[in-house]
Amino acid sequence: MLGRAGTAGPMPLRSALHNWHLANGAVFRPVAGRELVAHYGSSEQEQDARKRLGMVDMSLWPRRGYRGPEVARWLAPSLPLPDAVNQVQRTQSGELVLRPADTEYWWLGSLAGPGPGEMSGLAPGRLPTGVHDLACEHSHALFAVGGTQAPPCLSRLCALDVRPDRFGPESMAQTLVAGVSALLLRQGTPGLPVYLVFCESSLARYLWESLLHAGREFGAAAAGYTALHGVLTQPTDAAFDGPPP
Amino acid sequence: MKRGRRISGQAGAWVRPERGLTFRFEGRDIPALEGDTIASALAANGQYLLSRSFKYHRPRGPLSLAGHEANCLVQLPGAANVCADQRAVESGMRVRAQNTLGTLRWDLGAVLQWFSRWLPVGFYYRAFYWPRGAWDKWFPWFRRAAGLGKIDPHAPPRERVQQHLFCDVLVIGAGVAGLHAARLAADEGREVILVDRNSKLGGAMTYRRPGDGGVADEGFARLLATVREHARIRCLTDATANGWFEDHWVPVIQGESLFRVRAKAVCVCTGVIEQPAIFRNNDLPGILLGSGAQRLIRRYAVRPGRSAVVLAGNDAAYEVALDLIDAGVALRCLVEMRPEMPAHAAARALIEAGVQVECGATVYEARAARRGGHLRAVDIRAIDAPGVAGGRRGICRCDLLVVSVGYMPAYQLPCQAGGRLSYLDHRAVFRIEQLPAGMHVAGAINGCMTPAQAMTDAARAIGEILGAQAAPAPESPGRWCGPSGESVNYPLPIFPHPRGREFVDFDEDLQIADIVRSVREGYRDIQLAKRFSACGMGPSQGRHSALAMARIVASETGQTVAATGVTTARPPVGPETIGHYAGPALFPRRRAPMHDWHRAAGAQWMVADSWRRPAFYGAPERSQHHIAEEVRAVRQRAGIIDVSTLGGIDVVGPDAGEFLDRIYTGRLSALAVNRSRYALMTNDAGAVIDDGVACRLAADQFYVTTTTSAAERVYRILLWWQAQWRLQVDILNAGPAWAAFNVAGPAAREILQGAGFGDEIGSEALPFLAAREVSFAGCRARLIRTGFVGELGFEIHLPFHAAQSAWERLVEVGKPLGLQPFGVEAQRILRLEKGHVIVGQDTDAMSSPMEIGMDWAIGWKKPYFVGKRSLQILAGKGLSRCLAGFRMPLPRRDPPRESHLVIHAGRVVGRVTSSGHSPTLEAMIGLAQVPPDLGQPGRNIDIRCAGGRVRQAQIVPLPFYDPDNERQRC
Repeated sequence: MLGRAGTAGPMPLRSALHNWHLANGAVFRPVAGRELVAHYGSSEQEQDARKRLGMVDMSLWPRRGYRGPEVARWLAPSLPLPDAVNQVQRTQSGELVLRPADTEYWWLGSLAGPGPGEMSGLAPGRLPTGVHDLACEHSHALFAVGGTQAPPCLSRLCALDVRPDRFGPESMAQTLVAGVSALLLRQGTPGLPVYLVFCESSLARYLWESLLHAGREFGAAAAGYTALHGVLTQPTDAAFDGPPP
Repeated sequence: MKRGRRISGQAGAWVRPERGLTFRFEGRDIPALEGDTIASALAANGQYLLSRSFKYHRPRGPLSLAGHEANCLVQLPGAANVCADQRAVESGMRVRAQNTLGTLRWDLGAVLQWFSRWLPVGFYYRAFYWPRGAWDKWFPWFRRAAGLGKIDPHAPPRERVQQHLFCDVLVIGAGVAGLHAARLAADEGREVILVDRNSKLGGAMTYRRPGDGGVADEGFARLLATVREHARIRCLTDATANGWFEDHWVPVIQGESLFRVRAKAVCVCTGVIEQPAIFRNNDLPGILLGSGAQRLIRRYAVRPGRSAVVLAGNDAAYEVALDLIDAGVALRCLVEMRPEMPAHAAARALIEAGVQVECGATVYEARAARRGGHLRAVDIRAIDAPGVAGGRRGICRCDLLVVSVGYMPAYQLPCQAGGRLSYLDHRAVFRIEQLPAGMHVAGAINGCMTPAQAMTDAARAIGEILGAQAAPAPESPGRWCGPSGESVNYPLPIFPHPRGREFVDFDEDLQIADIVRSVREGYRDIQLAKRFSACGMGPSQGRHSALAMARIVASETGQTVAATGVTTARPPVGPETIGHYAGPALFPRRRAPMHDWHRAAGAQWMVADSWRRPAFYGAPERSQHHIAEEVRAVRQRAGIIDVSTLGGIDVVGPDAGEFLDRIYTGRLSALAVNRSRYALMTNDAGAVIDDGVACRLAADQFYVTTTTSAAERVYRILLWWQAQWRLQVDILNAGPAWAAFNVAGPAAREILQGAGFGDEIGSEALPFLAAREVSFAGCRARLIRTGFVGELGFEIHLPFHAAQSAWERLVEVGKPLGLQPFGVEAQRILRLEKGHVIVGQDTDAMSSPMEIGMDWAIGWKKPYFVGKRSLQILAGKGLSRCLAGFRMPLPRRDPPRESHLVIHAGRVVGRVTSSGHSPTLEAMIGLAQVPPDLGQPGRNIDIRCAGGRVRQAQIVPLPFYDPDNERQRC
């Protein structure tokens, strides 16, 4: 049971790369208590960069993870669940449900949409017996690596065959990227693949810099979340519909 | 240095005459052309002497111009053993010869060859071991005398790239067969990677005499263009497929890059390796293989010599002879080993050119110029019988001898994959058979020596890969034959000489007599003969010696060559550096959310597993001062330390208490909700392997912390035991979701309240060892009242992405109250003052809880926990050592350090595990493993400190500070 709430105001959530973003001229935009990088100067330039090789820090993107023997029974009324491990299902509103393990599900939402807790009327802390919160929104950082040069960039660091025609849309794999455990999820279109890379938050800076280094030859550039507009399959409209940063 | 060997107007050459450059070889400026290799540029300047041989320091020059032999290994700044006949020359490049004693031209080591009679093969197996210890004296001398290149340890590191590539078909070798195979596969929709060692595609088509096999130059040019532009073909040139591993995993090395290629099928079109003839002094500079001479002419527009003799054992020699004539070389004689001249167009053209041809003869001896060791003449003898030279036909002066007597398939990759070599007696060639599924060979490697044959064969191989109903490949009568219909291999181009110097293996300076001696010593199997003689174990890996060795061993043992076989091919195919496999510098480093804050605050880092933790804050030259100040801040006001590196595991479920009772030594199932307890973990042997704090957050939910370095290991241990016990628990690695910091000191509670915590942290709501989840500033947090540093302390675990903001808020609120960040060094002093143990520092792989004074943490009444049985046995035996606290006045210098030895009665009886200056006690304090009788309070121990100085310390009761724990309980 949670104790009594403290009296201080809420603290902004910051990505593990917050200081890196600051040092590289990021323009932040607060969205729902999260300090998101909108862009690094010119969103137009980033739109171009993403076609080649753009990297976006999505660590503060909303997501939930649950595990336990009863988790499937609890989530099934609210979410479509993948049939097998390492598969992905899409909700009617375009959000994604991942199944990293037999009794483990991650929900990957949008900045605007409700979470599964709200959808099922249950909040964290009041989870039913046999369902445990994984706090994956904090345990893992999330990067989007997108563009035509994303597959060769990833192939410098990952032994998986991630060519767009082999690792198709909404394919999912758990593998090593730059020597650390990572979960890979394919998004985007065949012509403009986007790979979502999850890694432990404490390794975020290492993996981010490794990806940028590996992608240097391919013109890699960091981009703000506005570069994702129209690229990801999740609805992100609320974030983009706000006032310009 | 001779000049003027360039051929003007050589069509298709790889060099660009309009782009000249200069590099240095052995201190001399050498003009070259863009597109040259080091060896071709030197040859263009008449410099054939490139290196000295491994054992006898004989002068050596290029042989194949294909990167096959050790003769061409040279030294570059920062790179040893570079293939001079493969490496493109660069402006300003500084090249030196390798393995010289003196200079390349005047090598003192060359005198060794005059003692070769007393240095037979295997001599070092029997010599230098007596008297005892003599080998140690000889060994450095041998290393100096027989070394290859030198590694420069100060060379700047080069950026290495590794990349994983995938394809449907990997085609290795971009000759006509490889090009055709790649195109056919790609046309059928397959993704193809085409790998070739050369800088340009084309293989033998780029140097062989055109128009000899039905593929017109125009057709070949179209094929080249198609492959280059094909969307499904990726060409890797200057790249070597350096091995074959299971499931068609092939490492490809290109410059500083390593490509890990995974293919569904492999088509090997690596062609053949031309073989030398074996006769006296067959290693002199100026003796080239036929293909080597053609490479010089066509690829690099270099005339290989002025006056030449061609030693012919097959039809290809005639094409080479015509090429030499076209290049402006005066061809003195063609020595035909076969009894009669073949009847084909090239032979007729040679006759028409008026070249003298000696049939049924061989070169019996090559003679060297007195200065420089270059070829100056050959002794031509009649062949009386296979391998037997007879009467002299004449001595022919020449500066170039071109040898074309046969080939060996480039069998390394297919044979690494499991392929077998079988010898065709009627052709005197080895053929590759029994290839594994998915691997195919095509082209010259399969005996298809003409372009037309090679293309047909490539189509067959690709048909098999694509699953077409390919007809079984019959043994084509044209395979392994030249235009005359005779074999491409002369059966026995080996002519022993009474005075030796007929080299079988150039890398190791092995002569015919060496191989014969190996067999006569009893090493009759070719694998044993190889190991005794080291034949084929040098940089060329038997490319030029395997066939000759098989023939010699067969002759000596009376077996057939087929029965003798060749030695096993193993990776790598070519030289590779450790750097290729080390790859880019990827060292995963973990960072806490406050990492950058620490750095800005002047943190000096220390390594803790894959983390960097602040050791202390401030200038390193005043480290002791800063550490002492941090200790005083915690004792007198408050300090904050980042402990995000600790592991955290949620154990949830109805059996959570039972599970933890089995894992840890204490009874945790009896822990009340919202309480915590010290938790000690032992292994099956009863040795302490980790410790932490176990918190019961709900009846069925525990949160246990681990040490930094054991976080992942403990998680794995828990999963491993749960897989056996199958209790109703879920084990969640919660640590990555949390960041944590510890606020400790008399003002800790006041600071937390100022930062927004409420009554839930009061002494009654949250007493010592309480633990609970609270909401802090909109986030879920876990609060633990711990006392590792011995003061009022709160360990706050917060969601990772909220931690940076929370830390900054606490520091800001705490500043007026004297809050100071402290690092691991101060924490170690603080816990030492309290006598708290650090697992891994104060324990070793054998330490039991009893030895470190943790009997109280053992739940002996529990029916079971991991290590209980071992601990019962150990407890029955009594202690052989214990961990005791010692104290001594502050020494001026050389204080006791960790791992300094405890001496008693002149014997080592223990060691210091922790020590430090206590600013609180103004004394040197520490922990030491000592015998139990020495560990009694009041006894003195002697500690041998730095420089051998022995200091005396007194054993005192633990803890050193606040023995009643009043400060941390408040």
